[in-house]
Amino acid sequence: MNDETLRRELRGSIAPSPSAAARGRALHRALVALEQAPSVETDEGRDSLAWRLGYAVTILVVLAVVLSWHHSKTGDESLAVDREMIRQMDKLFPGQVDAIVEKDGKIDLTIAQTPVIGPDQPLLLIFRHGSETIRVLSYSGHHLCLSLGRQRDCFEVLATPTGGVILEDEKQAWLASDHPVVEGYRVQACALPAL
Amino acid sequence: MNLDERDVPEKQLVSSAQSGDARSFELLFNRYYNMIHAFAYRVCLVETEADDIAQETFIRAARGLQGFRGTASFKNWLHRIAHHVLTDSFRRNVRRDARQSEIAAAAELESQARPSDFARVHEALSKLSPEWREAIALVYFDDLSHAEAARVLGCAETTVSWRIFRAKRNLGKLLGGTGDA
Repeated sequence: MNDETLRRELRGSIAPSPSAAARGRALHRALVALEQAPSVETDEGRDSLAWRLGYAVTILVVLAVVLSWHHSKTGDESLAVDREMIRQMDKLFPGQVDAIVEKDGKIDLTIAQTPVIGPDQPLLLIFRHGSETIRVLSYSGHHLCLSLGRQRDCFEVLATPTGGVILEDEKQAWLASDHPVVEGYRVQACALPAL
Repeated sequence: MNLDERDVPEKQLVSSAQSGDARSFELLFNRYYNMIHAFAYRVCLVETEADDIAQETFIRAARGLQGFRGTASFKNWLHRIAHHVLTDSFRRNVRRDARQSEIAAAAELESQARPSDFARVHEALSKLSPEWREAIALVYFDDLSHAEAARVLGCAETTVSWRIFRAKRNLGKLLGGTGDA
């Protein structure tokens, strides 16, 4: 079978038309999403990147204080603080926050160059090795690179529909509920509650 | 907007939609919904799942419209979102092998309910991996070049060419040829 025959054969198979109900539902939900999305900023109201970065630094300092305070809290209260923290950063850099990483009391903010399409489920990941703890706030579907020990590892983090978290690199995947050990670090992770 | 839908330049529609104009977004939706639905269907091979994928694609498009800078065509941008939605959909299933057999079973059921020509192609597509189906759907059905498909899929152009080559050989065999497509 040559290329042209194959192309003709494939083209001859028509995918089923979507139902009017599915189409109507999709349009309605997309329009609701459009309504809730931020509109184009005017020149007058546009924040400069420098201003936003400066503001981000301020926020990060505040976050460092909040983090040290909220570490003493446990359970749902602590998760709510984490959720609020990532929400505040996302308001500042809409769709651009990849991760907020806290290690040894120092906070690193990773921001994508361009906004990611659509908001995702926020996640909290904790990596522990001996006395070292790395806390990461990120979103489902985001690519995350961390220095674990001497090497830098990159993962994709994904929320499952049941509230679990999957960590995936190029070779394998771990389910956080199994408390996996990655590069010597024990991993705990959970989806953050909605505000 | 009073102009006929076909007369409005896409750039203008995108710009108006970015300013929050619902009618412009609806016109873009009308132009591309069927195409994205068909693309999703050719990859996942299950109609109800294609409904969900297409819906989620347009929801994400609406939310992320501000991020569209026009460096790619709007059509390719939508394909890229659909690719992400499809990838998320597959990855959310931890046991992918189990998922694949579930899809194959659903695909078989759907193909039985359709005309025989369609069923042959449907069955052949269901034997390919989702990555190969995506490459075939983009290049053979939606007329993207290998380079454009690579940008949609976030991989090297050579990877797309390789997937197309392997998929074509398999499809050729499955559809009754020698496999030298």
